[in-house]
Amino acid sequence: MNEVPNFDHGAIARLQRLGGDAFTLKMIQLFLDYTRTKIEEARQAQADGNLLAVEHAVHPIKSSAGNVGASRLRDLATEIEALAQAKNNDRLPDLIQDLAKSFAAVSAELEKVRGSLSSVAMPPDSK
Amino acid sequence: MNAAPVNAATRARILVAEDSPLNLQVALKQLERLGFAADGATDGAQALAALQRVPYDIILMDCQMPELNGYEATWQIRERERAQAAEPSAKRTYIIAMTANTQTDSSQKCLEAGMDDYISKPVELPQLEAALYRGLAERASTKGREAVVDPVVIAGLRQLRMPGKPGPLNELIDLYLQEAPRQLEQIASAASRNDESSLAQIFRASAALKGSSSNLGARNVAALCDEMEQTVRNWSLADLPPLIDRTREELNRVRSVLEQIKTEEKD
Repeated sequence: MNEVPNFDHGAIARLQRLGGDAFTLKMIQLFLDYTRTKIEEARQAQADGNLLAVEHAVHPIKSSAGNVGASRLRDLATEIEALAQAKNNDRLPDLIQDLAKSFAAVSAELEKVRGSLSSVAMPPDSK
Repeated sequence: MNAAPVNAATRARILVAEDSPLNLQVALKQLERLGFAADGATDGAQALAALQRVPYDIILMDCQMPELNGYEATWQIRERERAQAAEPSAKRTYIIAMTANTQTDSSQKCLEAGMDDYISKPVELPQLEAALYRGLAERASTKGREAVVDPVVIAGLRQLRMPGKPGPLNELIDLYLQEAPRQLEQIASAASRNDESSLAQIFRASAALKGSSSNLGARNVAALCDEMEQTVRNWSLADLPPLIDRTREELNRVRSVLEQIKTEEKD
């Protein structure tokens, strides 16, 4: 838990209540794939100096992160979005780096959740 | 995703426009839990295309989407509705914004873009449910309203507006609300007098009331005038008072709808 401060396990419990374990597993997978792509997009856009594209890439990370309880990731995405919008590039490379690190930590945490859920229920449509 | 699933209880067709697949799936699952089936679109352009195939009653619209964001998509939907207002199939889609509450997204901006309501993300079940029921309530009251005053006629009158000038609609409404009760009372007093001038006076007042009611889309009043004329033609003046009472009641409904339309015309 120290590894992932501000990780809200209540969010996973909410997903389970909403749609059950198979649904939760599917959502975790969607989150991992989608966020990975978006962080890569943000990194590339920042390297290209396209701050509008940075803003657009991190925006959906915010609410997606909220849905799986990745609070730190959400806060970072919020900060990056605001800076990109203000066309303030100075801290963006570092922050996007932090975003990637936070995502790695969240991924590890979600893998654990996934492990505990898969042992209980294997979704028939999981890939 | 072609056929729109229709909720058995409410018959409401719902579309969720949201670019994050995770949020989209969560929203669809939440709607399912609340008893609504819905379709999904992953950006504003897709939402517009979907709306052209299926006349959705409610759209849950993410504000920030690639291609076409929620504000622009809403704007285009409202433009399209305005252009089609005079057609018999004219309808208005209820749009609920899903905002991330940043400097870019504000409730003010949502309403200015033509959205009806907003909920913040991540979307919570009770907020979603409340917003949906607000939308359904509005839809029901709109349907009731359309039974009293024909929206197609009103839309036609709105189009008479010249650029930069106040439209004639409010003036027509005021005139009608002033004249119609007077005409109805003329019919009532002529019927109760029941003398040689009664028939002519009833026909005259009824024809005037029917004409002005049709002009403003107050179709039930116009139909009641027809019935009154028919009754008089059959020499059954005794049957007139209940018809007059019904017309009075309908005029009250028409008055409240027209007052509502007037306030909308002002903004």
